[in-house]
Amino acid sequence: MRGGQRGTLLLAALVSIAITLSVLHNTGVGVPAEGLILQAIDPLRSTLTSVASGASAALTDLQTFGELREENSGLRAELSELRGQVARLSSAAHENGILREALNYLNEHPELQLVTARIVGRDSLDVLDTIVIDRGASSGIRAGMAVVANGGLVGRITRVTHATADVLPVHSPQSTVSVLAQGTEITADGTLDGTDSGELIMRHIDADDPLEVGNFVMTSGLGGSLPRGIPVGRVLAIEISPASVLRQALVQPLVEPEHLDVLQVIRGQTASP
Amino acid sequence: MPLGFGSIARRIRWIPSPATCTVAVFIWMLALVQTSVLPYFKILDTQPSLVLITVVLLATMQVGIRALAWGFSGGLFVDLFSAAPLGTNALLFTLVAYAAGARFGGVDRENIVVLMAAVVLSIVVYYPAVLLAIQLQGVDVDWTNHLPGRLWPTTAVNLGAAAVLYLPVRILKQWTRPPPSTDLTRSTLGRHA
Repeated sequence: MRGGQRGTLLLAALVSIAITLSVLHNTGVGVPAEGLILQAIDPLRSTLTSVASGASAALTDLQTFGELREENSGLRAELSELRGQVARLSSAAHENGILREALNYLNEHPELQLVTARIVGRDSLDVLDTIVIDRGASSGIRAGMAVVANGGLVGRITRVTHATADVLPVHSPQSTVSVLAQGTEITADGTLDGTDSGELIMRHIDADDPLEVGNFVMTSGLGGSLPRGIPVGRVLAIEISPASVLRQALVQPLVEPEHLDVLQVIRGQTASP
Repeated sequence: MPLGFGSIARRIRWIPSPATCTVAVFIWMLALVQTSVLPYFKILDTQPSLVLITVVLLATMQVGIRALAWGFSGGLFVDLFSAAPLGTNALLFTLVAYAAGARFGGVDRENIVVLMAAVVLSIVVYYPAVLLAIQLQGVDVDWTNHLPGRLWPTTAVNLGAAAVLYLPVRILKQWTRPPPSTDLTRSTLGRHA
């Protein structure tokens, strides 16, 4: 057989194998085998990720040291001005109460078992923004479960192997979560979508629902895929379109997944069929 | 006359030689670094695809069917270690390796300018291709944001990474070049080494 023919045959064989693997992956048949392989390299990946995360944090600290010193002197100058704004603290105290209530969600729901997981990989394509964690089906994790860190929602599980799982962060453009904005007395419902720029947009807010900048946003539990009351973020700005009766709001997330090393999966919640 | 392991390995060509294993481990480690370390050190809000660059450099410098194997295995590693759908990068890296190893007249394949041009061309082709492959698997891709916004920064970052990887890959290629009697590249993909 001529060399050129061998090359073409090998190309055809490898392309066929790749397509077959893709089909096996998408149908879920190949996931157990993937899990076994990932389990084998998991210790090395965890070590690499920890080292990289630590180095990244140290680098960031070095870069921001000068800025922090300038900011510190600026803040000292503003201190006297801030003393005259003590009156605003009463409303801040009210907000604080709401936030504390939201953050105590997990303490108030002992029936939710938390599984602590370490981030061992991230999407290298910059398309899905997916995070890979070192806990999988062997730890009771299933697709659809909520993932939290520092009291706030990080995202939800999208794919599970035996020893690892993929997390779709809430800021991913592929993510949509049913949420409510907590006002002083009444709440406003909507859906929270991620964007390519990493911002969170709360959409489909009824014009009659009370909504203010600074309101806290948490999961509504609608649809059943995520538990109700997990804090997600805070309303930064509200947009009113004359062409629509619905409003939308820009939401600042409580958790920034790119700075996380460890997170927790809320077990016991599965994806709605 | 008794045969040594090396002789047997050469006779049965699918038994990997130490040099082949070295390249495989090198690509495997690059895939690990690419998926576990580089996401923490983004430049221009993107990160280099070390495995793709290595595959392109190897395929361009060392034309042969083994370049296809590097492309396939490298893509498979990236698929496994990142959250990419399995098979996506394996397919694309194999095709990129095939294209990089294609015959281009009397071009000096070890010239760094030619190699960098191959890397740039590969990234420009690979990036839209991977977006298309992901979209075909059911993911909603925002083309207007990804192509104009990220393609050129990604290309620039990968070009810089290629300049860094050039020397180690060149050393690896020289070390792994098989003796003339067993050179698979002599009769493959249309180029005689």
